[in-house]
Amino acid sequence: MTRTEEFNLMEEVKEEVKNALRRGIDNEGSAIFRILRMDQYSPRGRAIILDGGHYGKELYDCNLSGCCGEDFARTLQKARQILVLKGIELDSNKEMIKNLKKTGNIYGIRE
Amino acid sequence: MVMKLRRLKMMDNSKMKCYNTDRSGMFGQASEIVFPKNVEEVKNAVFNSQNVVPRGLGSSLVGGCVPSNSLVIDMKGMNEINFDFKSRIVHVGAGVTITELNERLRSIGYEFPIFGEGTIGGMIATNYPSLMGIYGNIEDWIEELEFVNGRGEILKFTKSDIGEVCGLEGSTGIITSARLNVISLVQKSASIFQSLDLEEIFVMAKRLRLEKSVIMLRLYSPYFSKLLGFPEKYHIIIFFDNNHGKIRGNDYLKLFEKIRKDYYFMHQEGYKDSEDPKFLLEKIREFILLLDKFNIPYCGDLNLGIIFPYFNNSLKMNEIIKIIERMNGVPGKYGIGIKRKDRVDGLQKKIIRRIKLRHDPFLKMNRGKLIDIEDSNTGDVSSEPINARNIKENIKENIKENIKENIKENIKENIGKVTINDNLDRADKPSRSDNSPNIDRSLMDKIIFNKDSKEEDENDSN
Repeated sequence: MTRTEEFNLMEEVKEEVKNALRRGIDNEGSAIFRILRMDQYSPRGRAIILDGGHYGKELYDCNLSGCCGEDFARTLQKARQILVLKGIELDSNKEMIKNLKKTGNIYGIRE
Repeated sequence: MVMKLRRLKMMDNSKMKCYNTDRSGMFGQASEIVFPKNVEEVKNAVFNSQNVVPRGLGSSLVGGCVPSNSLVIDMKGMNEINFDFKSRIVHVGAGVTITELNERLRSIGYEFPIFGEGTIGGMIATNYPSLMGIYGNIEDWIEELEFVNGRGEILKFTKSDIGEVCGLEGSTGIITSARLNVISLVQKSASIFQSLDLEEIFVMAKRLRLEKSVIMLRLYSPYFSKLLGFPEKYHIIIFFDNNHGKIRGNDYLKLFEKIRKDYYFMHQEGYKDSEDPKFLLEKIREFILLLDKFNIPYCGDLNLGIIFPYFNNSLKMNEIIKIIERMNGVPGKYGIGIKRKDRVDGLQKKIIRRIKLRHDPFLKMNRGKLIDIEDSNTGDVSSEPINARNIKENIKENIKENIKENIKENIKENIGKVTINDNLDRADKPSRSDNSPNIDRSLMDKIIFNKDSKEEDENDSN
């Protein structure tokens, strides 16, 4: 089931990324790119990486603000979903999930 | 002294891929990427490499920063901005984007009038024209440039010799910083004029070009207008540097953003490719009639004389490119890059080649862009000894000869056609005197104070 879901999502992402690259993606709006100032953190850079079929932890560096276009932000969300299905997660994410299960909030604070 | 530069090595293959291409969609191969923070680091990188490609935001539509096994120098790290209040000059690093610069300047009541997508370095390299046509090209706003040439020398150019950098698309060296003039931030406004009749649009445009406060005249074809959310008619969006327009405040800002990124609307509909021919006003009419005949959507800047036809079909595009060449249209905005090298004529090639050889004798800067030195048929310059004085004299002679020939031809063609010449002169540089003749005030009122405003005025008086 997960495999099929992952495959389907990857196909969707592939198509959406191709469309986004064809339309043109606004790089200047991205707050992350403005700070890190390297192409792999730019929306277009991420699209090129995804187009090459590479799913890495760099995808978590986006704040999903939608400044590069709301459609592309949704695509990035899907790409992150694939990462989770692949088991590629950040330690902080794992901790948040653990806290949520234990205490009902992501911070692990018991009331 | 060995400078430590941040590098992305070959092992980061997926990340390197971002640097292999730009907005043109063309792909090359970067061998290594460096991220200099100051001019010394740029100098060091240029000095120690044989094949260098400078890169800013990567927004070239003609493959201006696509590498070919090159060292890519990513200039975005050079992003300092210093403003001198006394001289009203801003000192900016080449990696600052226009949006970032304007955000900073607006907070202190100033503005840099060249709007567009890209870094300062990239825009100077392509001599980018402003979205608001009346402000001309970026070269008009440069006070001084700092530049590292292909020999690895740090040079400073003032207004008189920026031609050796501006518009040469990084083929002579890398721009590291610039001192730019800015203007005071003024309240702007806009109005929209629509018509089904193209002739009426042109009459209006001709008159508006003489108006002092009009800073942008943007023309949209009916189909393009429809995509922007307007009725399916010809539209001219008129921007004023005062409150004469009906659209002000937030509505103005929304409209401006829409205009700034109008190409997204076309890309969404599958019109991916566009051209940017620049004509004199008289020829624009002819060209637009032709585009209408072919059902090609377009927009245009009637101040600068640049028309942007959009294509979803390469056959139509090739056909239009041939027509543009026949009509002597020159690239107005996107530059030459890799895609349009064949459009540089012999004399231009010769001049570019000589300037390039002066600054970059080892041919290491942005190879394969603008001109192909090896394939050029413009005479074997590389066999001549490279002597700065000889080159300067040769360029002067070439320009003189060309001007003489052009004048002779013009005189032959236009004997008895003084009026045409007169029009062309005006089209090239609109006169902006208040006493400009033949302005039909009633027609002007139609836009600036359109029907709605008259009604409002009447209501106010009641």
